[in-house]
Amino acid sequence: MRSCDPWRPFAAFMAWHLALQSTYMRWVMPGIAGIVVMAVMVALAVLTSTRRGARVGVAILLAYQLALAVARFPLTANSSYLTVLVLGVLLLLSSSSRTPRRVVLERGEELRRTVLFVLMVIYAMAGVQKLAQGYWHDGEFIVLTLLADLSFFAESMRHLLELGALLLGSAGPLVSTSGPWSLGATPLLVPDWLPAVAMGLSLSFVLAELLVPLAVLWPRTRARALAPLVVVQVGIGLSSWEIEFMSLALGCVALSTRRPRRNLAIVLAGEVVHYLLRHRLGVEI
Amino acid sequence: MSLRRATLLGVRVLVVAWPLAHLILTVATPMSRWKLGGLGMYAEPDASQRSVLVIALRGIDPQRPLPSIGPMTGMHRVLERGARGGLVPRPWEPRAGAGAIEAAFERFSVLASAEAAQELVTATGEGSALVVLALPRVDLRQRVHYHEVHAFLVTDTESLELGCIARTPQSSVEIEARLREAWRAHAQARPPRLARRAGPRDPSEDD
Repeated sequence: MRSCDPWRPFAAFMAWHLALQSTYMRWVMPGIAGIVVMAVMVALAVLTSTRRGARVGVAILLAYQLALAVARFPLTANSSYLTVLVLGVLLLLSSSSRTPRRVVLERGEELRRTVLFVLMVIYAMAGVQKLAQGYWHDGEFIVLTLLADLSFFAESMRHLLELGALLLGSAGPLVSTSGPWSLGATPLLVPDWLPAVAMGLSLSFVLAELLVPLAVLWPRTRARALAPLVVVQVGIGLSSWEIEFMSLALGCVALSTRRPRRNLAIVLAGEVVHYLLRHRLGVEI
Repeated sequence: MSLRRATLLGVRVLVVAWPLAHLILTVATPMSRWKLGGLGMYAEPDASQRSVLVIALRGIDPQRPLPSIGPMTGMHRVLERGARGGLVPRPWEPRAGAGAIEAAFERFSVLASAEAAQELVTATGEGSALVVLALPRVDLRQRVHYHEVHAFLVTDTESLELGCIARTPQSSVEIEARLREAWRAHAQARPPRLARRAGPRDPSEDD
């Protein structure tokens, strides 16, 4: 058992993570209501960061997140379910100032194990779903996303492919979808190597989602698997632009590292940079 | 076992069991993989890439060929999810029933039943309509982008599945010919019903 209790740093991370996420409320609730929600979330983060107010802060955050998840049901985001689950586990494994040190450390260990288990099952199940639905067997999902997605990332990938086609030789540039008006088949002018690359990427994603969680859950390989796990998380998070989920997942992994306090702070710092880029400097990805 | 430990065990069982149950549900029913926390999002393209055309059959004589889908601008509605979310009905503006249309659209996948088509048409406020579901597909071996097309026919009294019109890459002429054929076959089998419900003639049909 480790000598440091990860409960308080993790509770503070969750609270500040949610406070940063609440900045999105300005789109849902324009005007003063959105600002009030953001101010309350920041106040809750401050409360959760204190020794005495941490449990109360986590309890209020859990109630708030639960209410949000119910309000958005059935379109509740998966990251929202994960947040509720993690906050619930956090509250369940909290300790008071009278709790013996040994029990506090045991609960900290239980927190690490449970959160990591939940996260690994999420990745593994996402891999199972991809295998079952068939769109990832031959790279079809990746190419469809490249064709139809209007995000900055997909747009950049299209330009990158065109550049690659120019440099490496190809059958032509990637053709965008012709929309619902034309139901017929349209030739897909893609670089010669795209089918192989798309299939390789597809299978890599699915295999990583299935194998890395297994390696993390297996005690003997856990320590070595944490670094690949971070790579997988960042890869998936950036390619699908699921920054909210990526930050939460990285926080959950940081909890299981040898220096949870430092690593949680690094993840949070990354989130702050993303917030500043997006909201203050207007860098829209 | 303490209540705390039992709850933690329950959490572990839940996160394993629910995604598996969700997987079975999404394979067996038209339930969206992007809903209800089953972790199936990104296992298939989201609804923004799915096109559903509700082609109003008012004023169309069932004994005459179905007008081509391309030029039917004033007579058909494309319910399409915008890339940034939200339903984009084209070419008409969103209206009061948009929520009901969205809910019906969500259920309209490749596994949708004739009843789901009926719900969708009712939500759009149409009486008789041909519903076409177009799912984008890519065949990387043949290097072609195409639509898997399924069709339904909904009248005031019944809703029928016309089946899969195209599962492999087909030309738009071929797909429209198959749609017309499926519709004509149905209309010939039941001429009085559709004929009775035919409304005022649409001027665009004269083209």
